[in-house]
Amino acid sequence: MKTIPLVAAALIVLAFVPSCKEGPTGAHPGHELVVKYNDGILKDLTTIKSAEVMVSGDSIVMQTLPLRSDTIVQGKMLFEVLESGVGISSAELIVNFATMPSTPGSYAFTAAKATAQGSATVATGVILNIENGTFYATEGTIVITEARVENGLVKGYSGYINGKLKSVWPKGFNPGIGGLVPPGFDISNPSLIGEELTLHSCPFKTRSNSSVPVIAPID
Amino acid sequence: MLSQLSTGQEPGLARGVTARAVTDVNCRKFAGHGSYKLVTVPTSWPLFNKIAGVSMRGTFAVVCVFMAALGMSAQTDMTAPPSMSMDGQAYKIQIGPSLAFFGGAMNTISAEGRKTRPDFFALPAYGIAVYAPFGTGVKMGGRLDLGIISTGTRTRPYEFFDGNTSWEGYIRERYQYFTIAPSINLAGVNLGAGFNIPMSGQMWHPDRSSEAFDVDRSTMKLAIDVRLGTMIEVYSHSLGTLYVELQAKYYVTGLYNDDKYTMGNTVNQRGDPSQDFRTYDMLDNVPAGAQLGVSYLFDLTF
Repeated sequence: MKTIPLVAAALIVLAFVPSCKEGPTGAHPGHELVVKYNDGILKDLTTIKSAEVMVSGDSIVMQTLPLRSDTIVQGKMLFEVLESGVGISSAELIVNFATMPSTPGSYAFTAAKATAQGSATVATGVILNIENGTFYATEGTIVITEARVENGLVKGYSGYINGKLKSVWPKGFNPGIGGLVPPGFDISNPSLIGEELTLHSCPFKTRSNSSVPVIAPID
Repeated sequence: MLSQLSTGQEPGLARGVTARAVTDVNCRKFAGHGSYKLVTVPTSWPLFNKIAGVSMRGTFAVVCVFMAALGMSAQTDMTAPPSMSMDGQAYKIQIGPSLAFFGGAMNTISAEGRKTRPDFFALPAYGIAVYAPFGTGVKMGGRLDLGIISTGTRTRPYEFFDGNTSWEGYIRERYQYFTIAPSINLAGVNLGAGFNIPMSGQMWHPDRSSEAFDVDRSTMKLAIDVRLGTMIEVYSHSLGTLYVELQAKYYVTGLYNDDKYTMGNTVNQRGDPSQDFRTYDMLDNVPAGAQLGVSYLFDLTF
C-alpha cells in the first residue's frame, strides 16, 4: 500500500525536473549598447556601442570587448573597437553571411575551413581578432532580431551571436619559427586545431549608413 | 610529560617534578566506571593552576552536559532486539517528497563596479528525502536529499545600467543543480553538505524575462554547499510524518570555474572593462541563501 504514495511522490518530483541547457545562448543582459550617464559632470551624455563581445577560452579569462564602430559591406558586417572607421584588415569582429539576410531569423555557422596560409575562410559565421590571435567560427548561431531592409538595400541589423571559435595553429606554434604540432598535423594543409574560444554573447546593432543590396541565394 | 593519568589508584610523582598539586577539578569519579581520573600539575605553573580552577572546570561541565544530553537522546533499551524499541516499536526509515516553496539567495561578493542584491523566488528546491534514525526511538539520524535546487542573485552590472540612478535596476541570475546532500539530524537540527551538479544557468532583465541568456554550462562547476537547517514535525500519521523545514546554505566553492563568471571582472561606470583583462582580479559567484518548505516522509518499517 505504501508503494503507491511513494510512486506518486516520485512522479510529482519528476514532473518538475527541468532540462539541462548547454548554453551559451541569447544576449547577455548585463551588456547594453546604449549607455546614458546619469550622474556626474557627464550627466545625460549617451555613449553608443555597435557591439560588445564577451569571450573566454581554456587559457583566456572571461573578457569583454566593446566595439564602437561598424560598417556593412556585401556579405559582411565589420566591427571595430575604435570610433574612426572600419576596414576589413582592422576589424576586430567580422560577421560573414553566405547570403545577406533580409528577414529576422537564426543563421547557423558553417564551420571554417583552414587555408594553407594559416588563415581560414568562413561562409556564415564570425572571425574574431583579439590579442590572443585570430579565431574562426566552428559552431554557433547568428540571430538577427531586426533586419532593416529598404527597397532591397540592407540599412542595418540588430541581433546577437553565440558560438565556438577556434584558431588554426596549435597554441605556441608560430608558422615563421615553428613549434610543436600534434601527430598528423600538416602545416601545408592545416586544420583548425588551435585554442577554442567560447563566444558567450555578442549583442550588436549596426549604426553605419549602409546601403548594401540583398542578393538572393542562387539555387 | 605535563600531566599524568591513572585509574583506580593514586598516582606517584613523576621523576624530575619537584612539587605537584592535585587539583580537585582534575579528580572526578566517572559514574558507572568506578575509577578516578587524576591529573597532576606542577605548582611551578601558577597561571595554569589559576586557569585550571576556572576554565577547565567550566569546560568539563559543558562536556558532561553535552555527553549527558547525547546519551539521553541516544538512549535505547539494550534488552530489546536491535530493531525494536522498549515499547515494541519497530525500526523505521522515512522516505518521501520534500518541497521548498519559497527561498532567497544572494551573491556574497561582487566585483568592483558591480553590486549584488538578494533575490527571492519560488521552488528553490524539491526532491526526495530519506531519513534513517541511528536506532529505534533515537532522535538523531542521517538524512539524504536528492533533487533539484536553485540558487540565484540580483546583480547590478554597472553603475549606469538601465538608465537608472542610485544603483537601481538589476538583472537576475538563476542556477539549477541536481543535488546530492547528506546531512546529520541532531534532534531536529540538520547539518550537512550538498554536492551540486550543474544543470543550467540563466540571466535576464526583469522586464524582458523572455530574452534569457543561458549560461555556458561548461563554465559552471560542481558546487558544494554547507547547509544548516531544521525539520520540525508538525503532523504525524500512520502513513508518515509532515515536517516544516527551514534551511540556510552557503556555496563554499562558488559556482563557476576559475575566471569564467561573466560578471566577475571589474568594470567602470559604463560597464566597460576598467582594467586590462590580464590584470583582472576575477571573482566568482558565491551565493548564500535560505529557504522554507515542507516534506512528507512515509514510514517504512523493518
